[in-house]
Amino acid sequence: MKRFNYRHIICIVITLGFILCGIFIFPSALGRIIESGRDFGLSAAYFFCELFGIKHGIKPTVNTLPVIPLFPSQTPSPPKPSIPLPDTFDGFKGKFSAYWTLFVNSNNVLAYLAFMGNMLYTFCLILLFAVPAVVILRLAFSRYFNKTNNDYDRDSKPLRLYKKAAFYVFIPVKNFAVSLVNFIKEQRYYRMIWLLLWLFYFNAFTILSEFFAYYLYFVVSFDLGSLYLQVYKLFIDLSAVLTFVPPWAWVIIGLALFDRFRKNIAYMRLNHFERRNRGFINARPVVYMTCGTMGKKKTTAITDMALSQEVMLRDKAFEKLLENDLKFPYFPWIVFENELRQAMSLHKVYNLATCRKFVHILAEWNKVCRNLNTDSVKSVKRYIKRRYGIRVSFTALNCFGYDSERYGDTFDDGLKITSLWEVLETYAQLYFIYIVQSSLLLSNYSIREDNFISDLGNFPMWDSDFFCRDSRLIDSYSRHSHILDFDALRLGQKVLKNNRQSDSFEFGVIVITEVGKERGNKESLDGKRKTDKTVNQKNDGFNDWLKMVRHSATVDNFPFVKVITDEQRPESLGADARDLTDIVHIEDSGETRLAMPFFTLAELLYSLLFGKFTSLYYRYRFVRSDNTLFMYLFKAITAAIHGYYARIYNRFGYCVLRVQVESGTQDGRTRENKYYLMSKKIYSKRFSTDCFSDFFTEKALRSPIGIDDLREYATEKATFAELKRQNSHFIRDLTNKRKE
Amino acid sequence: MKTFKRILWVLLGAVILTVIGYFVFTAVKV
Repeated sequence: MKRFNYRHIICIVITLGFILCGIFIFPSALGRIIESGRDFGLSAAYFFCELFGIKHGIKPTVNTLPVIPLFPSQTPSPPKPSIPLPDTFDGFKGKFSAYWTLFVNSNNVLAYLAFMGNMLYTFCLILLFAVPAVVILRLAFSRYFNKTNNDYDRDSKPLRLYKKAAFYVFIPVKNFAVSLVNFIKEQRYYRMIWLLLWLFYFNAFTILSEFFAYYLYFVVSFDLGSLYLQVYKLFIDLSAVLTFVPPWAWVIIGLALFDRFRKNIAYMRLNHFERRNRGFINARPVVYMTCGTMGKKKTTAITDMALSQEVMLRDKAFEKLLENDLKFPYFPWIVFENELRQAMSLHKVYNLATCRKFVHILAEWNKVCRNLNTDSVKSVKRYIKRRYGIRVSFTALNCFGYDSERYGDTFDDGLKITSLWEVLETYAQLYFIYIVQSSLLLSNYSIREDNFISDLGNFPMWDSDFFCRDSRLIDSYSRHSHILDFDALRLGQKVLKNNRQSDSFEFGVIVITEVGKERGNKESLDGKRKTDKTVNQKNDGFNDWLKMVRHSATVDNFPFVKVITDEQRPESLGADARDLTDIVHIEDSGETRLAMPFFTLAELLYSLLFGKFTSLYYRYRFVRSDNTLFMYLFKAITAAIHGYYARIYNRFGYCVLRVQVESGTQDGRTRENKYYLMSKKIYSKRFSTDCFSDFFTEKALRSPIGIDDLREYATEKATFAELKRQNSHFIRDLTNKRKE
Repeated sequence: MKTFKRILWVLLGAVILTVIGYFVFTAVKV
């Protein structure tokens, strides 16, 4: 049996409290909503009568001042809301000119300066008390350094008391509050009732109703003179919330809104940088190489480019799907898509070639079925299943239910005539590219991506955002790039004979880090020949594949492929392959900046606090190992602020790479550009900077000794025996020469 | 230099707030 949750009682008590609040604190809310209903009704009647020329004697009440209280009673009623606005426009004009007269009045300026002086005085008074407090705290803290101990992780008495108090008071209260908040989150009705009650108390519905009442009145009367009265009425209605919420709460609300505003600016800037990056990538050819010395963020840059390129390929497929859709606007595309998805789920359609084949089969058998009766079409269905292994529906053999006689089966784009089945072939390939749910990246190191597809069984939509992902959830929808099988990129000899993956690549983004080490150049391939029986870089046909890569990936005249590589020096890649590329030289990577504005004060306070904490903390750690209450709290506060600071920088930080683009022929002509690396996009577990470290780990595990076991030089001058221990070519040459 | 720049920004913010404060101060007095 389900137990009754006692939190319901708490929620009901809160609701009753809110209702009592309404009765005693907002008694005029009910009167105002009745008035606004009346205003709206009369305005609506006035509007329709005027619109249709019906004779009437309606006098809209939207321009009358609210009667507060609406229902006079014997009990003393609350005072009318006082707002700092005159109730007529003439009064407002008078106040307005008085404002500017006072604004330029020297006495007023002096009074303001005096006011500021008083504020400064108060501030100095606070400072007067704060400074000695800080000095006392410092003195108390310096006491810690007088005592040295090795009491590892032993809590001081005040800390033990604090932890006990926190355990018995703070933690139960916090747990209860969290459980109550979670309960309220689950119970939608309480939240809805509370929200509606407070919107009612704050006259939100009244304001909305009065707005429409005035709108309906204004559009037929064009009575501009009454506009000021509406502003006055609006302020009367707003006075409920303005006076109820205390100033400190307004400060918090203001700060929260300000924080939201600056974060929105940050997201806009990050998205702007992403669009600029995409423009940069689009301007590069199908194959390009990023170069730079170690630590210039080459691999980071190519990973970033690959992530953007993948999204761009899907976006392009989406764009072209619409283009093709509009060629036959009455075609039931969803039926065709479902047919294709079924074939995909049965693994009959798994690449672009099978997409084309699938549509060819359907086109061929549609022709056959055009003049057949239902039973014969069913026989054809069975035959197709037997012959091709494809399960097709009855509708698919009837042109998916498209009435080609009525709507036509050709499209004239002004250049040529395209038939329906040609468009279907293109559409199928684009849909396949769009709907592939695994990564479109094939790389020689792992790249994480978190694009996800939303599908309600109709047309699926991709969410490819890079900046708003919740870091706690990324593992639940992450996927990783495909393992790049280089045999799939070879047109000649392969490493594995009968490799079933060797013909698998058609489209996507190939990402190769350290491509020069994979492919080599003329020098490094010295001794290898085209005629060798074993596979090598000269006989594997990789360069031929590179030259023809766009042929397998072109759909609707667009190549859905990009090959992005990196290397330290462009010359490390042989000229035959290098000449096909653009070389993107990374000149330097700037320091991390923040896309979020108005963070200066927080940064200043943080750097002051953090600097102070670091020096105190490590002085403390040096002399003692026990835990004291002061250090415990100081560290907790600093850790919280540091966490906030780090999260802001990780979410909104970016750095600018200064890049030079040069043709692969290395003609010396370079173009300056910028590339933006946004922390949230590229450092969110995207790839491992030490992607080949496992090789070195295995190597290190084979070693029986570590750095502490290695010999040191005895003095500042190496002995001959010590030099010999280097096993260096240079020393060996010298030794050999001496022997000669 | 970075801290100096930050202090300058904070001072600029204080000046802007003072000017806005004068507008509000006058409005309250009318």
